Amino acid sequence: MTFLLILAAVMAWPLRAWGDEILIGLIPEENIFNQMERHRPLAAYLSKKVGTTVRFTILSRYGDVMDRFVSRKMDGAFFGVFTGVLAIDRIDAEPIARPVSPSGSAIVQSYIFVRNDSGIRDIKDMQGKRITFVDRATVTGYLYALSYLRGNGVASPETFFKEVSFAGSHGSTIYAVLDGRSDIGTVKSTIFQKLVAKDPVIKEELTIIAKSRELPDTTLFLRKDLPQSLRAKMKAVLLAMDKDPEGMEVLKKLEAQKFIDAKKEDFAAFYDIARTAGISVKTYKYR
Amino acid sequence: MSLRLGDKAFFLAALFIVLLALPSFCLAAENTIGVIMTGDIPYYQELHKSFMARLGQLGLASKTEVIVQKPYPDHISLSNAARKLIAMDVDVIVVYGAPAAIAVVKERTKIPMVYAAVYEPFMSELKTRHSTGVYVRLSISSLLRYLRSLRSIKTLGVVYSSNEEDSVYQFSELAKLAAQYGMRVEGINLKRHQEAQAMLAKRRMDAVLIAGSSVAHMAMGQIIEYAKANVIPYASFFLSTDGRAMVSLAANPGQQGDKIADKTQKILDGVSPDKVKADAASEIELVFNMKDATSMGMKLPMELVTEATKLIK
Amino acid sequence: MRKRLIYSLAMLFLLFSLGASIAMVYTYRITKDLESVITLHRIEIIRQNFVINIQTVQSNLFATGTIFGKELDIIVENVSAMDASVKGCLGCHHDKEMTDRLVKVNDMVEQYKDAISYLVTSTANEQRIERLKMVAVSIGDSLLGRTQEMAAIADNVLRGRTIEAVKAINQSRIILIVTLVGSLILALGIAVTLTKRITRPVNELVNAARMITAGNLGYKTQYHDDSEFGEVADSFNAMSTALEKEQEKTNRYIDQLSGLYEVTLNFYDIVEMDQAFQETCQSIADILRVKQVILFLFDDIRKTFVPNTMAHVMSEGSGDVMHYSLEKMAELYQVSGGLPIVVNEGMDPSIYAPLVPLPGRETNLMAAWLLTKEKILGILRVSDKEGGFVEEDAKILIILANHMAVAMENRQLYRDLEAKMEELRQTQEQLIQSAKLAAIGELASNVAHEINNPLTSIIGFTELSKEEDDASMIRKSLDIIEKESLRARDIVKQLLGFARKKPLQLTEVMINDVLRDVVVLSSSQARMSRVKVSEDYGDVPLTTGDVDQLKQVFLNIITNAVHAMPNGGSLTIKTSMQNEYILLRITDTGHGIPEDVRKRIFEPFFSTKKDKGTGLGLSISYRIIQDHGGRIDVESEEGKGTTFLIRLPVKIPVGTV
Repeated sequence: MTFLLILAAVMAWPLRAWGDEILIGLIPEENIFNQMERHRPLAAYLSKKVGTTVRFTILSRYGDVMDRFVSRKMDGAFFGVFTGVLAIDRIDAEPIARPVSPSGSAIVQSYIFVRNDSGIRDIKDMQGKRITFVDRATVTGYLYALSYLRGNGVASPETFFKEVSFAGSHGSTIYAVLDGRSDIGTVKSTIFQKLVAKDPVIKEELTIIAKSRELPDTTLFLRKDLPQSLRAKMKAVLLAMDKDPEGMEVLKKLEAQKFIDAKKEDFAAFYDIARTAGISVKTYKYR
Repeated sequence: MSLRLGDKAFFLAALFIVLLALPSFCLAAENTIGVIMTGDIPYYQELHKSFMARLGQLGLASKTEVIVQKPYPDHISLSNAARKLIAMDVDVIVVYGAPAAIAVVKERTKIPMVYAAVYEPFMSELKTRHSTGVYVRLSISSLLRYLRSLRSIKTLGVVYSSNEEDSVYQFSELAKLAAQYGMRVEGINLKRHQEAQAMLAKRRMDAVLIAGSSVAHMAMGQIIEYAKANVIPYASFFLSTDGRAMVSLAANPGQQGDKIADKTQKILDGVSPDKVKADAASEIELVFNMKDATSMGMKLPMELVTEATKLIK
Repeated sequence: MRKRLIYSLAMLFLLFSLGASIAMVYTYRITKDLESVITLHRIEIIRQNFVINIQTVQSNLFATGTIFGKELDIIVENVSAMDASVKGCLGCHHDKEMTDRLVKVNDMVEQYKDAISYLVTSTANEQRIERLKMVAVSIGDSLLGRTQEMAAIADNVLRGRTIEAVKAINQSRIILIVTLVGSLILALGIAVTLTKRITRPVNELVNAARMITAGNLGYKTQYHDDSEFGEVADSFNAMSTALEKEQEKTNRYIDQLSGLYEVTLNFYDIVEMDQAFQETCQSIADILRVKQVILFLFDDIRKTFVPNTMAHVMSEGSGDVMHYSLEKMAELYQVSGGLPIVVNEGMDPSIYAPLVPLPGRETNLMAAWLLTKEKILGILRVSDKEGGFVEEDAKILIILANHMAVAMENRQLYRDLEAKMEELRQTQEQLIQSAKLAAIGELASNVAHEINNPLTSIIGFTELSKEEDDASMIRKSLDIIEKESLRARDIVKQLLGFARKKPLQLTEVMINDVLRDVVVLSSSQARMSRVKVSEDYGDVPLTTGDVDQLKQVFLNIITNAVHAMPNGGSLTIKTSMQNEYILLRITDTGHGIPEDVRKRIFEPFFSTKKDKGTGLGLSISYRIIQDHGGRIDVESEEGKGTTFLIRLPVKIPVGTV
């Protein structure tokens, strides 16, 4: 029902004239202010090179993303895996480009982890324990783990585990397990690595017992009903950024190495997970 | 043959004795539970309250006599308490805290023991056939992490007691962790809680962590005074959830009380302790006294604010 | 004085510098105060913006619903602005107290950011979200509280500073005014004192100078001082005294010179040289204050210098015996080198013998040479001057001697001149006599020639008529004979007129009236020749003269003028005064008179007309005017015209006629 409503809204949505500003959403990260600051030079750079004002705004978290996207009449967003798939499926957006991290990575994984001293090593040990997910509308923070569980024969996590909780953020999930408030957690690899980098002791206390395959990291999507020339221009500019000294400056501020091409095919891995997890994008209730 | 008068008298006397002894039978039919607290501290009081409440719920309260020992948390007192209870031949000895448990184990009694609030690494000490209970798996590194988020620490003061081995263990764990963080650790070993003020006065530290030692927790007042006077954050590990400390990480005492009451029931019902599974306390509480922190001018770490299961404003 | 001046000026300068410095310092202070007040106000604005930012964020945090619409953008914007504000404040402040406060605020803003970020990035768990929201809000409130606190402080500071600034400004204003007025008064005082010190002596000196200019030489100023002015006054007095002395000296000189002058004057009245010498000697005696003056002149016959003239008080005759030989004098002349010989009392006279004081009679002596170019004419010997002869006396004597010498020579020259003049006069008379004879001879021949012409005609026509029968022809001939006879008579008459010098009938004559009459007389003639006559009579006085004769002259000239314009023209008659003469100009625009002719027009019998006139008119006119004591001149330009200029004296001078 919700889906239909959204679909209707999208259909009824009048085409906006090109020439106005382009509003691109950002999925909020740890510090939204820093995030905005990091993206400010990129906005200026893109505005200059593409010829239309490009503005970033912080999107809502996870579940509300699509609603917000529509209601705020956004033209694009940096989506994760799940939101990206949703974008392809429900709001007719297409992937344009993806930033490469300074370490050279443009992919992300989902980790399932436990404390070393929990004695949990595999699915058998997990039974009757407490598990913490991040949010239903994330692959790295839920759907992968779900597929892992389902793939290992756990039909219903609610009954399998003593306790199932959603921490709401990747960081919280890790802390929950660290503090002993939960036994098992599942988070985005990049967040895990960031926290470990901040506090190496964490690495010694946690064990990753399962990892997903590589999934595309944050990808820039643009609505398909934006003029083709604009989308092409945007892609071209982004892909050429690391060859332009000005662009290099912007990339440095953004904390990215460069932008690489993004295709729908990159998201193929998701569909495997979805299948194993037993969900369908179209019907999945993620709110 | 018919009972002669002499027989009748004997029978009456016997009846009388039996009648007299009836209560004792009854009494003997009542269970006795001996409780040893490792020190009379609020945490254990909380635990005990919950234990007693659960016993009540289970309908055991009326049938059970609970003898509570609150020895001073030193070896001799604990041993004495254990011995006393053993001498009283209680049906179950319920212990709060590893020191008490160890004291009982040392006595090599066959009386089943139900333990609560035992620091998990010390479970190995309790590997007898006669005990079960609730252990607590708690990450002292997490507490340290939260303490560090309140203030950067170069020197960490750790208040513990050599009376309580688990606190000594925690101290050494902290020392190892501290080395990884480039921190220095100052151990403040309290034999008696009254020593705290004097011992602290000589020291300089950036934060104070009160290990899971009852003696240390008995000195909480002095420690807090010291911390407030020096404007340093103070954390409590293992033995506090009331938020007296700025940050505390401990397992919920109430839940443990419930659990051990259930286990005690089983044992009183005759189940062998080794058949009653010991489990880990599952309700871990991270308490953050934001009020104290802000009044002392500490910056508020958002992780702590977010992750705290209980926030005191 | 100079020192005083320098000190005073230095003090003035210092005073003004002081005033200026004070002014500058205070102005600087005021500027700084005002600047700080302005800055504080500016900070107030920053602070207010900060507060608005917080309040906006707070209200957004409180807003119902989720904060993930535009509110998030607003929140991000506002918080970033807050961040920037605080960092800005930190950048400026350096005092510990402020910095500490600001660092605290900065920390709180960071916490705010953390809280909001956590809020935004967490999902699930309403409780947690609420908790975070509450924390964020309370941080916001604390920030507001702190800001208000800081604002209150800033406000006080601002008020305090403003009051201070205003006070300082007032103070400064007063000080500036006081300084200005004070400096002005002081400066005036200094200036007045200074000028007084200068003007007084200057006035004194000016006054004294005026006195001297007025002729009061020797006037001494009473001004005395240690300064330069005093020096000037003293110098002035010295100068005045000197001037007085000089004046006395000058007066003495003047006396001497006027005496000299009078003496020398004598020489230029060379009628009686000897009397002059006498008077001169007397004057010399007076001028030089000597008792005896003897002028020796060279006697050609005796070849000695003998006394010529004397002025003395001594007994007569003593000088007679003095004779000086030529050789001796020549010798002495060489010895003296041409300069006067001076023998004062006490000097050894032997060198100058015999030109020495007479022992027992004369105490001292001075003698000067009277010289011409080649010889010694005489010796001027003076003796017995009280006090002795000084250089001045010698100078005077030289002058006198020279004058006398010159006069003597002039006398000779004059005598020579007189002789020559007499000779010349005699020669001239002879010349005139012969000229006269020559003129008479020429005149006689001219007359003869002139009369001969008509006579020839008469004779001719008479002979013709004798042979003619035709009465008309005879009559024609007789007409011609008559005409010619009349012409002959005319000539004779004119001749007589010319020869006979009629005496002038002198009356008072107004030239203008005479001219007017003459113009009337000739008007018909002028009209016939189409000549325009213009008269311009100036204001001339009466003169004495013969009216008829003058008329004759004017008529003659005017007639000539009209004749010179046969085809018309203009004739101008103008009278005016020129120096002491009446100038009469008669100008015509005729054919003019060529150069060579002009010289001769006043000659008798000289005529430019072929067969008219006698050629005597102008020469008679010339004579008449001459008799009147005047003259006729002619100016002409060929083809342009001619002007006759007649000058007549206002009075006929004596000796004419």
